[in-house]
Amino acid sequence: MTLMLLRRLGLAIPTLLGVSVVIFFLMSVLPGDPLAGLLAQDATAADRAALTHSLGLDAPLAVRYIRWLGDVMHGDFGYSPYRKRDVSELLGTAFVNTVQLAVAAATLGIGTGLTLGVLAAVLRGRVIDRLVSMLAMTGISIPSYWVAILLIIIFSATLKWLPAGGMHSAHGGGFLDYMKHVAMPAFASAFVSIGVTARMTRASLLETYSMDFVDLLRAKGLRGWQVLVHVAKTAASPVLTVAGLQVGFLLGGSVLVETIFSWPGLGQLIFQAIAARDFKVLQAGVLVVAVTFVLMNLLVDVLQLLIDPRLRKAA
Amino acid sequence: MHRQTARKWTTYRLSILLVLAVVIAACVIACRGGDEPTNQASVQPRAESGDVAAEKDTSGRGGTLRIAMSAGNIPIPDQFVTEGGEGVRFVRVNLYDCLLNWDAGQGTTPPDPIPGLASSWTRSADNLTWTFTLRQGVKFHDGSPFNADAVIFALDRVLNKESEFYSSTQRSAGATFLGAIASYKKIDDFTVAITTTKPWAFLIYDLASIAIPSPAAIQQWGNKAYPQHASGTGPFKIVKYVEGQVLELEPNKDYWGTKAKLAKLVLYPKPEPAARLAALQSGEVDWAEVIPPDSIEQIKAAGYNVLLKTYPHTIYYGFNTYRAPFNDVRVRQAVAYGIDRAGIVSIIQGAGKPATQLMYEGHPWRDTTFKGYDYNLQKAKELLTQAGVQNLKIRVAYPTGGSGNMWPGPMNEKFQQDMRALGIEVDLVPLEWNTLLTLYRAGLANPDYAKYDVFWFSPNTQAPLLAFSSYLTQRIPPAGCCNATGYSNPNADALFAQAASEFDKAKQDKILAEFQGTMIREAPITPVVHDLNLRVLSPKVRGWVQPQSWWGDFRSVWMKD
Repeated sequence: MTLMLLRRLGLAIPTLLGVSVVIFFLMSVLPGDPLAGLLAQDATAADRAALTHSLGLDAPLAVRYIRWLGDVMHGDFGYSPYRKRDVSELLGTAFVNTVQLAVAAATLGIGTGLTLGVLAAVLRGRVIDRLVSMLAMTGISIPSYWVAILLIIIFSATLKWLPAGGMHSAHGGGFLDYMKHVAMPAFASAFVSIGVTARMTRASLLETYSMDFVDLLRAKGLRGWQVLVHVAKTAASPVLTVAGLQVGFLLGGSVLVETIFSWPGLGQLIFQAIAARDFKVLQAGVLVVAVTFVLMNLLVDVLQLLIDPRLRKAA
Repeated sequence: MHRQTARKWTTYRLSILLVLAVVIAACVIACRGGDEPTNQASVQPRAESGDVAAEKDTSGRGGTLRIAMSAGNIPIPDQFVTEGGEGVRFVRVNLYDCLLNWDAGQGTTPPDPIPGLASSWTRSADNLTWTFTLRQGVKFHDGSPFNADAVIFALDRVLNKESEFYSSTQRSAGATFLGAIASYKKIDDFTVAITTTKPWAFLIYDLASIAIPSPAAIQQWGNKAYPQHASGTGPFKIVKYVEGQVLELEPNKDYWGTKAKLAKLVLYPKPEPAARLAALQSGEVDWAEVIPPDSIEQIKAAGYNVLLKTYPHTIYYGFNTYRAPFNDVRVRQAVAYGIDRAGIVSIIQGAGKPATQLMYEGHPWRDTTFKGYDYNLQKAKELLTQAGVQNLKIRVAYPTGGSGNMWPGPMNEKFQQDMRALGIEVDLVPLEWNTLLTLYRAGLANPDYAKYDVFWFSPNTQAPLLAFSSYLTQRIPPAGCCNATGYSNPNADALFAQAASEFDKAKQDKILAEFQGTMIREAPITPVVHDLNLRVLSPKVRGWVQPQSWWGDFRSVWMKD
C-alpha cells in the first residue's frame, strides 16, 4: 500500500504541473488587460510601462512562468497588486473559509444523501423509495445558485430567520451567529451532493442486495439490519468514490454560492481574480484547488483499500 | 394485482404532482424579485424620490449604520481607494480628507470642491502657482500631526520616483488627477505651493481627489502593508478591517470639522442584488445599494425609503467613427434618434431618466441651446436614407454586469428591438467588464476591437476631466486615453482648453456646456439613460442627504431606535 501511495503521489506532480501550465497560458490568451483595473483613465504610456515592469509583466511568458514556479517552490506565491496583500495570506484566509463551508455542506449533503439512499434501497418500491428518487433527481437537476436565491427569499427576506450572507453579523459573534450564517450556503452547496449520494447509495446497495452471498446470509437467519451491515461494506466502494468527489468539489469552492452569500472563500477569490486578471492569485488559487482534489482522491483510494480486502489484494 | 399496480400508479402520480407543486411554488416565490428587470413597457420615468422628513431630521445622534455595498470586496483604503465610485463613496470620503473636499452634504446642486485640509488658497498672477494655507491643529487617526510635510509626502508618494515610498500602483490609480502638477514645495509648516504645467483651472477638482494619508503610518508599515493600517484625517476611522468581509468605522472624535453623529458605520460587500435586498428586508443591514428594480414598489410599500436622484452618471453608446457606417455623422444621428429611451427606462422600472445629453437637466454643463436627440423614428429613417445606408448590420459590445453599469442585458435587448424598427440588425456581444474596459482604453482602431461598431459605457462625469477628456483629439489611443471612438473636432478641443484655463466658475461652466453641445451634436456617443442612483434605506436611517454626486456626507447621518 505504501508503494501505491508513493506511486500516486509521484503521478500527482506532473498533473499539478500540467494544470499550472494550462492555466498560465490560458490566462495569457484571454482578452482583456491585467492592468485595466489598476490604471486610471489618464494614465500615460510611461505609467503603463512602469507598472508593467514593477509587476514583472514585461518578461516573456515562459520566463514569467519559470519565475513563478521557482517562487512557488520556495513557498512564495507573490503579492497581489489588486488586493494589496500577499497571495499566500489571501489564499490561506479564503481556503479556511471554504473548508468551513465544505465541511458543513459535506456533512449535510453526504449524511442526508446516505440516509436517504439507504432508506430507498431498504424500502425498495415503496412510496419513500419513489420520493427519494425524485428528490435525488431534483437535487441533481436544480442549479445551486437558484436554490441559493430561493433560500434567501424564503428564510431571509420573508421569514427573517437567517441572515442573507456574510460570515458574521455586525453585533454578533459566537457559535449560534456563525451557524445561522453558514446554514443557507451549506444547504445550497449540499443540494447536489444529497441527490448524487442518495442515488449512488441506493443503486450500489440494490446491486449488492442482488448478489448470492446475501441469500446465504438470509438463509443463515441474519436479521435485516445485520444483512444491511454486510451489504453496506460491499456497497461502500462506489459511494465512497462519489462522496470523495463531492468533498473535492466543495473544497474547490463554489463561485456562485460564495458570491451570492458573500462568503469570502476560494471560489469567490478565484472568480474575482479572473475578472481582474490577477494572475498570481488565480495561479495559486487553481493550484490549491488542484492539490486539494488530488489529495482528496488519494484519501478516497486509501479508505477504499482499508475497507475492501479485494482491492487490497489487487493492489 | 391490478389493484396494486393502480395504487402504485396513483402514488407515483401524486408524488410527481407534489414535487411539481413544490417547484412551482418555489418559482413563484423566487420570481417575485429577480435581479433583472422584466420587460414591461408601461412604467413611466419615476420622479426623483426620497423621504424628505428623514433627510431633514437632525433631532438625534448615534446608532450603528450597516450598509450592503454592491462591490464584490471591501474597498482597499489606500491613498486612491479601489472599487471605483463606491470605494470613494464609502471609504475615501469617510477615512480621508483632501486639500479640497466636496460640498456633497447637500442635494440641490452638483457639488463643487470646497476647502478641506487647505483652508484657503491664492493663485499667482500667471495662474501657474497656487499657494495653499493648511489647517492647523489637525491630527491623523494615528495621532500624528497634519502639516505641510504630510502634503509633500502624499504628493511624493505618487509623483516623485526618488521618494522611498513612491508607489507605482498608487501613481497609476491616481494618474487622472496628477497630470497637471509640474512641481510642489513646502513654504512653511502650514503652507504649500503647487505649480501646474499650464494655467489649469481644473486643479481644484484634481486636488479634491488626492487623499492625504498619514506619513507616519506609511513609514511604519510600508506601502504594501499600509492599507491594513490606513490612517487619514477624515471624519471616521477604521476600527476593524477583515479583507473581503467587513470594514467597521467609528467617528473620529478629534475631527477638525463637523463631527459624525453615528456611533458606528459598518460596510459589507454584497455583489448579488437579491442578497442585498434580502439583507435589508431581514434587518441585517439598514442600507442597500442598487436593489433589483422590479422590487421598488414592493419595498416602498413595506415602508422603506427609496432614494432616486440624478447624479453625474450616464449610460451611453459610443460609435466607431474610424470606419463605415459610423464615420458618417448622419448614421450616428439616425441611431441617436432611433433609440426609444423612455422604453428602456420602462424596462428598468423607472430607475433612470431618458438621457438626451451627457449631463442631465439642471446641470451647469448641459447645453441648453440644444435639446438633444429625442425619439423620432421618421427623422432617423430620413437620415439613414440621406446617408444611403441599407440593410445595416452592426456589432455592439456591452458589459455582462459590473457595479455602475445598471442592467445592460435587458436594456441592450430593447436597443436591439429599436434598431430593428430602423432596419438595422444588431449583433449583441456580451463582454466581461475587464475586456470592455480594455476596449475603452485601446480604442476602436485597435485591431483587437476594430470589429465592434458600437460599445456601451457608463462614465463618472463628476469632474471636467472625467466627463469630457474622452472626446479630445489628444486622447485618441494609443497616444492618449481614452477617446475610444476616435472623435476629433478642433473646435471642441479649443473649447476644452479654454475651459481649463478659465478661472471664473460661471464662465467655465458655460464653456463646458458649449463643449458638450458641440460634441453631442456630432454624436460620437449617444447618451441613453441618466442613472438615478437607486438605493434603499431603512426608515431608521435619518439625516442622509442624497447628493447629486457619486459620494455624499455621512457626518449628518444617525439612526433612530
